[in-house]
Amino acid sequence: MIREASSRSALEISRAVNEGQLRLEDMANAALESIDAGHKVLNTQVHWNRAEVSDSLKEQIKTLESSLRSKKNLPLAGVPFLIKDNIMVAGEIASCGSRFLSNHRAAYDATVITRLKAAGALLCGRTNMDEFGMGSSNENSAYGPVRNPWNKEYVAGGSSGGAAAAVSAGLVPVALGSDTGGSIRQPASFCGIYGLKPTYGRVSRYGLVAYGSSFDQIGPLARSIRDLALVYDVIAGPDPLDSTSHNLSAESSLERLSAEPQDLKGIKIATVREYLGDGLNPEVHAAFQRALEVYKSRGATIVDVSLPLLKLAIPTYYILATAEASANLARFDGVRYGVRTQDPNLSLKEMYTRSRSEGFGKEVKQRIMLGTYVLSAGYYESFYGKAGRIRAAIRQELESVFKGGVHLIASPTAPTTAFRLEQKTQDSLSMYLSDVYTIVANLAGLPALSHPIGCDSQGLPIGLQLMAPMFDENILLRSALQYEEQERPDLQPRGIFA
Amino acid sequence: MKDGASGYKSLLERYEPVIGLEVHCQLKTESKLFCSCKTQFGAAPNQNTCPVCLGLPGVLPVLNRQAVDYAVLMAIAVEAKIREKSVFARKQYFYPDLPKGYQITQYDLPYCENGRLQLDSGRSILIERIHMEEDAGKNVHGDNASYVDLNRAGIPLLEIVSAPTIEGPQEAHEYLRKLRAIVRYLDISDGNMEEGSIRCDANVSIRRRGDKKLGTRTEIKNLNSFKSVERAITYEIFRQADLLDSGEKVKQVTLLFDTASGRTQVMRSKEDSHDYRYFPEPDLGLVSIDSARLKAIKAKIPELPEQKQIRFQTAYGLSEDDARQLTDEKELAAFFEAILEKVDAKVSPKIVANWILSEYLREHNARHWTWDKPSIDAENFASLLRYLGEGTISGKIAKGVFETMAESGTSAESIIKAQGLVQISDGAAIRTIVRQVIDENRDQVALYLSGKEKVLGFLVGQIMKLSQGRFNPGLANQYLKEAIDEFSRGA
Amino acid sequence: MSQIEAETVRKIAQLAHLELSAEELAYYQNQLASILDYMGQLQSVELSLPSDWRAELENPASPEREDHAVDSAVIDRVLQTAPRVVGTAFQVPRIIE
Ligand SMILES: [Mg+2]
Ligand SMILES: [Zn+2]
Repeated sequence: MIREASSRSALEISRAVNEGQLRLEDMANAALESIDAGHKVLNTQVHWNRAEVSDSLKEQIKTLESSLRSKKNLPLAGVPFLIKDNIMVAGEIASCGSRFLSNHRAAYDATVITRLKAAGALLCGRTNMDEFGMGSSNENSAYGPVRNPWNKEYVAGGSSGGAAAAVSAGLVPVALGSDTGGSIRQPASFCGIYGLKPTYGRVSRYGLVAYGSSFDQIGPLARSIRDLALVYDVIAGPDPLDSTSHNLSAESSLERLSAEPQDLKGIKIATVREYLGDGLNPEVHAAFQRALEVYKSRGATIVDVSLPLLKLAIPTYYILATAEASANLARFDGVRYGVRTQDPNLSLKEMYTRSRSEGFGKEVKQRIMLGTYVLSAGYYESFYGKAGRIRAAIRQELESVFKGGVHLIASPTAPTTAFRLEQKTQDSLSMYLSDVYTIVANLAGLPALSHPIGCDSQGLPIGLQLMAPMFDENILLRSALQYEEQERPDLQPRGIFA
Repeated sequence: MKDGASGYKSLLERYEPVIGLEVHCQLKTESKLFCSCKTQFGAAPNQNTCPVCLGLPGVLPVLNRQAVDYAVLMAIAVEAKIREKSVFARKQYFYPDLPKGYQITQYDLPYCENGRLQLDSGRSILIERIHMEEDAGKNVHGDNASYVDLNRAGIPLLEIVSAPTIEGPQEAHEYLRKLRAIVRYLDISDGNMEEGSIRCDANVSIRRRGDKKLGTRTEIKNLNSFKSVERAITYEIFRQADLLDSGEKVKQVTLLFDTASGRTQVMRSKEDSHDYRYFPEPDLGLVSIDSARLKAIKAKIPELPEQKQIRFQTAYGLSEDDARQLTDEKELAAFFEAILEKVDAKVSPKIVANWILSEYLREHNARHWTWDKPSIDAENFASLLRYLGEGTISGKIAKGVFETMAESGTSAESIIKAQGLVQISDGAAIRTIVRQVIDENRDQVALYLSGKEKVLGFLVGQIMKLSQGRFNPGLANQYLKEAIDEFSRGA
Repeated sequence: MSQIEAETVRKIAQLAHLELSAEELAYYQNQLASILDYMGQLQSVELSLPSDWRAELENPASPEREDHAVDSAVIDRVLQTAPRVVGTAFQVPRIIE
């Protein structure tokens, strides 16, 4: 059963369902079976309740069958999906990996969920994550860390660790994650799969619990570029409920993948000088260089650029994102939802403070305090104000690279492969530094994609990140597809259930 | 504490009050500022809410175009500078009526600055800034707990901030009344202080006459009637003067006005003042008010109180005072002009104005009429004035008829006919009564003939009394004189 | 490494409505010090942007919706899972001004 679900791509499943060759019940049962088994060893899910999901699937199948009868060819017909725990699905618990929201049932559907449902997806549960998206290892979840399918002693990455591990382990073909500083791409890289962070404004954020509002984007994780494109096509596009969503209708990137030339002639890929020095693991570096050779062999030219401001990306990001987070998390006060402290004899302020202190984890408190600090009287200009200006300058620096004829900027997705559980939990700063390559795309709003390029000597996956100009997701998908088709990287972690 | 007008006068010889007002004005949109919930007043708790204004996780604001258009109308009306690209910000503090833990408001880049509002004295009050923001909900306090109702949360507000150049409680009152008139003329707000659609905070300080430096100010919160504004400011000026007189210092505090005791009470001191940690709202883009939009909105500006007052003076020959009173409220001015349209040249604008400002307003206020439900409409009122102008009824009768109209809501015509109040101009009928009065008042007639002309008035009064006021007083007068002449020649 | 006073950490926590044990206070004092120190590298950066420059002024105009009221009917669901409700209002400890 597990093998069956895991071996199929989303594209195959939807084709089979649309052609009547795969029964929805069978697909749903297989998915339930594999998620249940996978979760037991990897802790990919939160609030996993097989019976509840099974009931929900029966309802979903009923609705889906009737729409399949009236409307042929739903792009995600019968494709089992997992949703990151910070995206609203009406009626389901949405806890953002936090104890504070452990009893919070979403009252509405996120826009991406409305779209997935209309496209025929089967929602099979919620994936584990770093609390409110704050983390790079999934160890900041109130529901325990996610284990890496390639080696269970290692982290899956974060914050979309549950989604990445589940897709990697073959529990589902695709999942939705969210990416504020690398939270789709870094776990995708650590787990040896594909992850796409679309351009800021490309996918509606309505129904995504905000961490850093000017950084957050929802995106897909998958085991192939075509599946990534399939899901991306469904979720992208304007939304009147999100004022920052772009009013540009996305064309079908999946169709374009087949129509585009099957090589990369004329494509110029830049590497960044400042990226390839200190802190970059040599094995990762070597794998990255080998991957560039593959791109070259497909016709791309590789150039080297200098982006001196990028060394400021991490402090800039952590100032701005935590500032936004400190405000975004102020609504968690125990008045309207979430877990209020049990002590009934508290003043209002004590009730607020106690509820928040009991409900939030260590890292979340730290980031709220950081954000509060950088916005507080006397510090605003030198922190928030300054960081805002540097962000704009970084944007300009990247823009000028693309204006100079570069189509893509390539780097490793992360400076290292997955690290051991608990290796970095006592040192926030070193954890923050692992986002060095991914953060830039969020600062500048650019689309970026991570794809697997092999494993290190310990058998842990290595990822490569491509970053493209605003709203040019197509070139990301098209180029990564060239790599995928030539290299056919082995995406199958072994011994998960051993 | 000294009190009363004389105390205040002597205080003013020593101190100069400096007052600034912060006015929050609810805009009359159908839906809220950032979500599509109703703005209607009076629903059960939390019935006008949605994920956005409940501050549920994951929601995002979407700006209401009408609210921005209304805001621009206000800016144009006070001749302010409008910023083409303005920015929303988050103002952060924890309070149960603030569901997101921050208010979406405008901070250092508001859409509107440097407006002005002219007082009757001719002095202009500078409006430093106007900005858009969302209203908070309401906390209701019980004995052991408080209860949160978010129906009001997210209703669009304009915050209108005056420069500290208001010189006294009465000026504050006038400024506020004029602001209210403008928003009502523009039809962008109900402008009702008692229902909270206009709310006012006052910054009050005083300085010794001749001092350049401003004194320490206090802020009085939540003044919810015109009267409270005046009372609270007066109280606060006296309080500060007493402190300074006795050599103490005014502390910078936030105060609440207690309407029952008429005193201000400390709510919080400067030390625990908030650090709001403003920063630009990342969920919204710029508020864009370009020249095309501005032009389109400008075209919708109606005649405003000031302009209307001037027109009433020049076109209708009204006094400045009458014109100002009539234009104080848009509906009153409209009522005046509607009546004017329905009467002929025999009824002058001055007469219409007098009738409205005395008779009509008295009943309007005493009977708590509202403009959407007047008990006497313009046509009915005009017909009464027409009867008066044509001489069908006398002024005295007209007043009586008007009272009956106010009481019963029936038409002037039916009252006059039913009660037989039509003025009598029939010579024979009047002459009969004239003769009767002369016969019964020989002494008075003799006095008149001896040169005491005042007596004539008494005699006319007697005639009118006997006619129950229905004789045409001019004719009564004329016939009386004729009859006395005749009498004296005959005698 | 720059220092951050315990008192500052306490104030920040208070502003953020978080309570910290002595142990937590020490932990965060330490972490924040090293992170803020690291963030401090921005201070020395000179940029050629004009002083009145504001990031958000680069943003596109916010879309504006028509002023139509819509019933969302979501409140019942929210009240069902709210921590404390009386009638249709949320209950909180009595607010003392
Ligand atoms: Mg305000
Ligand atoms: Zn609402």
